[in-house]
Amino acid sequence: MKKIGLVINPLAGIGGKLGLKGTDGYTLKELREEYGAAPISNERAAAALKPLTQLKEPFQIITYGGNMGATVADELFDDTVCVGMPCCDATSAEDTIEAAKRISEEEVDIMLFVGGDGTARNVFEAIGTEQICIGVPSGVKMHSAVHGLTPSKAGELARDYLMQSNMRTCEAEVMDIDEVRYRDGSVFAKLYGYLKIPVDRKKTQSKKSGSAESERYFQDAIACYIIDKVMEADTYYIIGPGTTTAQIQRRLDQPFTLLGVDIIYRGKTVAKDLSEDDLLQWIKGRKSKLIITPTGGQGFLLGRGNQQISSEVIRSLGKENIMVVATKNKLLSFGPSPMYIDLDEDCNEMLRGYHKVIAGYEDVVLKKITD
Amino acid sequence: MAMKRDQLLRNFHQAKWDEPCIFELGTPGERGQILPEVEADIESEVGDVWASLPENMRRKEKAKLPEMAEMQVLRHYLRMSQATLGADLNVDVGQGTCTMKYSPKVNEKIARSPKMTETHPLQDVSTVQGTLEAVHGLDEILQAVSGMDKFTFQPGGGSHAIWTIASIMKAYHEANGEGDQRDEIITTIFSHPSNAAAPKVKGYKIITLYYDEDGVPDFEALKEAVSERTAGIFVTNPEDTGIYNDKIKEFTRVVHEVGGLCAYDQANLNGIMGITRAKEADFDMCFFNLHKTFSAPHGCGGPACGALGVTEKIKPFLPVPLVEKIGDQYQLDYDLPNSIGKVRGFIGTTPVIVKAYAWARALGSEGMTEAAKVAVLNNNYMLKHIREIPGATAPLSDVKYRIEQVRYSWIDLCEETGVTTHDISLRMADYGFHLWSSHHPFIVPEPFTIEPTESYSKNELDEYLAGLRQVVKECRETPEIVKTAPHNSVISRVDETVLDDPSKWAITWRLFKKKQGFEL
Repeated sequence: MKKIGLVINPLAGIGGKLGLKGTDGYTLKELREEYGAAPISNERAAAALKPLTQLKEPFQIITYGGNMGATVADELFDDTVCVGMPCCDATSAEDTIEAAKRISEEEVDIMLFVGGDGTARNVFEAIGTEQICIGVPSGVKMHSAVHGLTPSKAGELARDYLMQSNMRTCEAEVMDIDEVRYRDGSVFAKLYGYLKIPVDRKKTQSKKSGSAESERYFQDAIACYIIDKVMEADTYYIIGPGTTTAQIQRRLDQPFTLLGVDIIYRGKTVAKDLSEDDLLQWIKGRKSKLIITPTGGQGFLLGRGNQQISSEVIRSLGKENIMVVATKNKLLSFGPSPMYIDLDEDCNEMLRGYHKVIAGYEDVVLKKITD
Repeated sequence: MAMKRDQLLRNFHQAKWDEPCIFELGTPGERGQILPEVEADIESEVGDVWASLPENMRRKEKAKLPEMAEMQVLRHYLRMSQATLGADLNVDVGQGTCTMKYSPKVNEKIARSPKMTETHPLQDVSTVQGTLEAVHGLDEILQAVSGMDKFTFQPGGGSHAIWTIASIMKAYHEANGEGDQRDEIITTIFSHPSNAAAPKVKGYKIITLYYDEDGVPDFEALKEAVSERTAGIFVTNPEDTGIYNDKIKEFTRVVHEVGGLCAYDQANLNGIMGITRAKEADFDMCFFNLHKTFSAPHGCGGPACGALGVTEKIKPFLPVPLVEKIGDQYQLDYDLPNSIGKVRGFIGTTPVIVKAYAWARALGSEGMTEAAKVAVLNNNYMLKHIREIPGATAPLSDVKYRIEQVRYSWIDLCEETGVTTHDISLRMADYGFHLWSSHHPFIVPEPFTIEPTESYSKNELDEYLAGLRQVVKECRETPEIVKTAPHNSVISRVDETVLDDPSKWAITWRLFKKKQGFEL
């Protein structure tokens, strides 16, 4: 029997109609009483669960108590199991994390989580990249690539994944914006991690297109090109965060940190998850080059999500020792917009302008960098 | 009273035969025509016929062909033909970029004449003067259309023409002592994928330009991209978006200034023929798809021809032989010392060349210019009406008019209703229409591409628009019927995930059986 996990963030999306930039830091009571807000996540959850009624095989819904899943699931299905209860009506990120952990421990085949970027972040914190899941869009901030295009598309994707034996999966970015700074007008997007999602080119939110197969192929092509034609024996290579850069280490069969900054030397990972100080120590007196990739959505190259690669590190390396890699799918997700950097003025000045982005095997795209 | 097409949709349903593959039909021993035995005295006169066939070409065992009688074969293929929504059957304006204009049947008759079909490419040229006259005649016509100085018809299609151009570029730079130095080709993100892929096969590194705020290739990026390593640029104009790049002469100037060559992919000639030429934009080479603009049928992947034209300075590098007129005789010219050699057998697919020649002769220069103008008019008629459909947009540029086709987007409709371009294209099939998105990756999100050409009537364009409006209405009112379409077709949805698994691909029956574990 198939097991389908369900966790709902009851607060997700409430702020949207009110013009709030997210619901971090608010309670449901505050939102209802002070803003007259009404929850929308249960309605979204129901839309996502509806396609599951088309499953021919028996299945069980594994969920959390009250408005975190059980209320909606019990209305639609006979076989639901509740693995815990939120501490109180005013649910929090900790409840989402606990719910996702417990549901995942039941070895569900797929987990649906209802919410936006904040919820995706909580789910990632709970389960990492091993559990297959799909986000049901119900948040104000939707920069992550882990959500279905719509609630029903998310449900259809889950249904199709359970019905088909050969649906591909991929690691999709979990992005989030610091809401406190966003409310003050500063956009601060950060890559928090990756969740594993099933892929159907027609059902996932990302503006990227092409199949998971083509994305993996191009990431591999980039990695092969770097290894075959670029890497030199006497050079230390600083590998920035991301799946595209990690593919280089995968190709070399070396350990890597998806969110951290590592160093490769002569085809081996010699240091992992380095801080700014560590990096400056490593590259002092050594021939070094940097390989980085922009984060999805907004196209930030430096200054967001990879602050270890500071202005000081960039200045020590020099422009000619910085290589940018990105698949064409990822670059297309930014449209005609440039890639952004947020360093000190000297470094911004040094890097501004067109840069060759390695997009395949001996295949580059000219892309502008700006601050 | 005339039928009002803009309010009436057809009550369409495709024939559904559930017809097996031909290899699953027939019975052992079943035959079509049983020929009489050869008479003894003929056999003794001829001797052993098989002896004249080289040993290495003789089959060791019989070909595993289906064994079927003629009536059953005829019925099978008629049923299969009813299961397709081909260009002769539907209003095929939804197959943008392919230029699905009418292929006149009179040209088929000409190409089927025994004067064409009973000839052999190794015959003495004195016995095929008519064919060579048609080839030479089309060469002259295309020279007039493009301003180029000589055409070859050897490339078997557009991608092949691009590869041929890349080969010529390589040979040209090598002859100038810069072969190793010039190892980069520049192209654009909206160019056909072959503009990057074919030079890549030739060993070039590829630099791709993105579009700017006006929806045309980024000129500032081009200036950054060119260098002493630039072998050339491959560019289409207008691109599949239908937006004309009026800085195209600046593009060729910048590339020429660094010693590179400029190649014009003119797959989108249909809206500009007789109006603007490759020569005036300073291109060194261009190619035309005879199976697009010049009406030769697409044939579901061929036979086709990528007619490649070059300036005088590039002519020495063309594939051989070329067809030349010397005195009043047509000859095959092999005397090009710098030629890249053959890219395909003989002089090209002559039936395709003859059909294109017949089409061009029937229209003349005035007719071809008129065809371009009508194609542009039809496209802008569709553009105006599609822009009025809520949920459809023509992104990338706000220009009022586009050339011969438009890359539209359903993204607004998709975000509103959850219905995708793929869903909409399958629902259009329920009304007897074909609607195509574009190549992957989708640069324009949720795309669809309409190219009406000059061939369709206003009634037919209105009928197609009625189909689009109806499906959009359904997206909002009854989205499930769109998301589960098609309902009136041969089959419904298929599991497309297998397309992403190379281990499951099989393009022959034999390979299919092998991968499925059937007995070979």
